[in-house]
Amino acid sequence: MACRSGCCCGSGPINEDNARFLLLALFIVVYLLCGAAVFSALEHPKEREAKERWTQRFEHFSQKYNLSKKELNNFLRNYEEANVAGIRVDAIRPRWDFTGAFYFVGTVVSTIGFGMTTPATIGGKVFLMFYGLLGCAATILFFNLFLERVITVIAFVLKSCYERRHNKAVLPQNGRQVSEGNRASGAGEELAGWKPSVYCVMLILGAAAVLVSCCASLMYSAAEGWGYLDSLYFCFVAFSTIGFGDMVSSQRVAYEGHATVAYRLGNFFFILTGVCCIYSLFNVISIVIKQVLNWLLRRLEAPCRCCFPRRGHHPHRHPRRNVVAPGHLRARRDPSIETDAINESETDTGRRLSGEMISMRDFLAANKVRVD
Amino acid sequence: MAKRRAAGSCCCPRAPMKEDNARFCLLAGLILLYLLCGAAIFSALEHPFELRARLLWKQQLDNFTRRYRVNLGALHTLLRQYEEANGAGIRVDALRPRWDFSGAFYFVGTVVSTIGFGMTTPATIAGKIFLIFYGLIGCAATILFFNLFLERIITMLAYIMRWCHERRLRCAGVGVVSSREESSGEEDSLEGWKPSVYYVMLILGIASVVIACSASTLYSSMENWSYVDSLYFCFVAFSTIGFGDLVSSQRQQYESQEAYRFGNCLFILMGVCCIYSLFNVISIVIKQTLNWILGKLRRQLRQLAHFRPKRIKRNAVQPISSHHRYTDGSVETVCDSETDAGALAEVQVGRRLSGEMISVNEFMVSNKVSLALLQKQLSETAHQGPRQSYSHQNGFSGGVGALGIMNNRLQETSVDR
Repeated sequence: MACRSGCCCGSGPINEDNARFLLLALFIVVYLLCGAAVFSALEHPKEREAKERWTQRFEHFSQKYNLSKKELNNFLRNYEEANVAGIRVDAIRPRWDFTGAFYFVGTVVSTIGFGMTTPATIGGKVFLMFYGLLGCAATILFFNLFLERVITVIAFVLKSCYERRHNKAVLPQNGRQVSEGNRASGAGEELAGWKPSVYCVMLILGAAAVLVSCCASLMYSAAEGWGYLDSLYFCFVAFSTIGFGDMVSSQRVAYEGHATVAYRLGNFFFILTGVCCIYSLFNVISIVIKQVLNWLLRRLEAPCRCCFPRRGHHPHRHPRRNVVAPGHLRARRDPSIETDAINESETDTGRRLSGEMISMRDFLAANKVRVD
Repeated sequence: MAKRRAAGSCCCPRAPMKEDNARFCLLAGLILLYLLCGAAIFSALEHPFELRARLLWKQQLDNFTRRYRVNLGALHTLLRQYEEANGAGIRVDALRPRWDFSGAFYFVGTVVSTIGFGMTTPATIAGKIFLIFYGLIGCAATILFFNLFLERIITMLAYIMRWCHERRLRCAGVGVVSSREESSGEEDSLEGWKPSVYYVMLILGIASVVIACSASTLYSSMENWSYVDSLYFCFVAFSTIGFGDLVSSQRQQYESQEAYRFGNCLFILMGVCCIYSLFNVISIVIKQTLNWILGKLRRQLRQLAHFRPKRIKRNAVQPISSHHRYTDGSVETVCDSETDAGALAEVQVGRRLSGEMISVNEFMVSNKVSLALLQKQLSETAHQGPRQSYSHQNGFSGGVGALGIMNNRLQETSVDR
């Protein structure tokens, strides 16, 4: 554990963080290329069909009413402009009344960005830039806090289940008279470091996301008249904040059964819940992906591992309880936010893991060192 | 001290949770207010234009039907068909194909980055189903990419700023005598040093503005948009909102097409990374503002309830109560909160600074306890847990972004990275 300074990094010219970053970038590029190929194969035929169909209709219409193509095209260009202002053949709800504007700013700060409503004036565009800067940052914070809350709640629930199972197992065996404090601290000690596994959390979040999507799809397919699959597709596109805009909910002026207000509220709450769930799910999946990257990096570096073990590759995962050894506490002075703390942890777990005895003087010195 | 401890032992596990929930609810309320105000302003700005556009379109429709004697119903049918064609990516002025390989690549790029312009959308059922599964993994991986980029860039900025800081200290002379550790001196003053969130925000803001302005010059020249429109497009694309009213690189032919497409890709990538990092850093500032607001509210409530002030009186170590504290500490690991960091540090300070004499026995017991506490603090500091033993807590104490939030809360994020 002696050599901790930046020169003998053990992984060659690139340190682990950068290696992981580059590896991920490479994978994403490969993922994009494969995805592009698959989508192209799936969709290109239909695109050609749609083009042919439109050309036929266009020609048919211009012939029937004796219009030149140019005139018809000019008319259609006008229609395109009208589209931007939110006009469609079948009347849809106004874009910029208060509720429409509220839907718009909702799609802005959540970064969904359907695009059914977009600012047309210069003042609106400039205001959007500043409004979006603060709003998106606040909403990212909101989603991150939600992620934190969800993980806390899940951890709490899982931990109480675990504790209950653990107490059932422990109490009958423990015949000795132990003081309440000891028992509490003992249980607390053993479970103090317990944290839920990312796979458990991912499963729970995935189930929640599926539940929310399915319920929302029921509502959308009933209210909007979309197919169930189309509604699921819309749910995914909206909740992941991709927000294509090819299908947008709650665009009609009125919905049957006088349920308009209820539907609009339901739409709002479903989108809010869905985005929170899917955002958390994405982040938890990203931890799993990070694990995979770490594993890959280790496999790649296995052949060129040096004599001393690399950081983070302890043969034993679980730290043994131990005393702090004073010497190496500040050997590493990497200034980065992440790596210096992490490196301290590696050395600390190492020290904590060793079974050495240290003198009282060293102990006091060590204690004294870390108190501030 | 005892009263505070007694109060602490019963409400301390709950207090961190209460504060987190309070912060979450406060943020939700503020965002709702922000949305309502924004809606009012946008409505005022845009509604007149919408009404005018509707009027204009009605006139154009009437003119056309009258002039060419076209049946309105038939025209409407044509327009509906045109809307359908629009969905397949057809416009009056020919655009590049949607689903050839490069078009599909642009599409999947907008999917995984969650920009989602919508100029290209799957029409087949198979495409939609594949999109759901493809997007699940792709978006997660790209979120990881952005978060890692965020960490990398903050590490790099911290490194540069620390280097400048060191140089300034060295230039200022060797008179940096730390009051705590005689052996460490200069090291100690830099040990806990982390860049201020405001500096990082400034630097990221400048970088974003530079990227947006350069990209805008490119777009306004290639796409013939106005400069403001290009800036607007840059913001909408880089923040991953992605309306789709303006989309770059859609025409069939440009001069120096390959270079433009490559430049477009590069700019969008860099822009999204920068703006994403900027958003996360601004969110730290917003979080600090929320904490400040909550602190003020709590202090007012405390004054009303004549509560004992938070500062712990300097005092001798009391082994039994420290033991209590330890058991509290183990429960607290479940409910992490930033307030505990301050509390812990103050407790340590109180013990350390007192001049009272205690027996060796008490000392050993309390050392054992404080050692356990230290180990906990160390591991959490090391893993960038929400608790910090550094006396100055700046914005980056809890880690940045979603990865920072999840750090030390899951098994896999606690031991290894």
